[in-house]
Amino acid sequence: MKIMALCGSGLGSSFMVELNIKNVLKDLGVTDAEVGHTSVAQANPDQADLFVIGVDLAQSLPAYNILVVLNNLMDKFELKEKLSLHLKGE
Amino acid sequence: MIEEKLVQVKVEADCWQDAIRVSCGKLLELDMITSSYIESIFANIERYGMYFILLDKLALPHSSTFEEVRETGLAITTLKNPIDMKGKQVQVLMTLASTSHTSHLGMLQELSEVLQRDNIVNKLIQCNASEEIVKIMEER
Repeated sequence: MKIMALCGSGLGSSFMVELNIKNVLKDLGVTDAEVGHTSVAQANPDQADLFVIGVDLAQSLPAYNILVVLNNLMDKFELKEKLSLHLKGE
Repeated sequence: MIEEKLVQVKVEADCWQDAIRVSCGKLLELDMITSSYIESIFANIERYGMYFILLDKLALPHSSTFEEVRETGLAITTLKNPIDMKGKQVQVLMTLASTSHTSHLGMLQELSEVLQRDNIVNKLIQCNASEEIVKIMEER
């Protein structure tokens, strides 16, 4: 599966989230996922199976139905909880 | 990862615009960015909001306008008092300038590890001198 972290510029914040996703996946024992980061402007719904985004930007992507929305961008516990819920639903 | 010449502590700012301008000060002074980079950060905020607030009281302002950046760097500014950034309180600004999609990634990888530490933002806020900030950022 492919997971994409999104932010406004696709430069800083989304990369930080990408790193956290990779760490969380390692903790969860998921080895077959590809993780990347980009900006909301460059993103398209076909790019990944799951998108991770901060709550501030989530409304800007109504067409994306598989979103993990984070209240705190760098909160690993929140990320782990929400990510594992999505992975279980696979 | 952090150069002392890019650090400012306990700076006074009246509003978030002021804080961002101040946080770009060293980058501008050292000719690492053009003055239009600051306007691009404002345009980025206008369009997408304050999505770059990574932790409580810590923001990472930046823009992806590479042509306005001459040298990749991360400038750290702590404020004397927290300011309101559209509903969120911020007291530490880590302002990023990057010349490409990749030139800053190593730096952010290190930063990401530092930001996992307990109470890191408050520790930075309490620093009275640039070298204390550098010391905390370099701790392993």
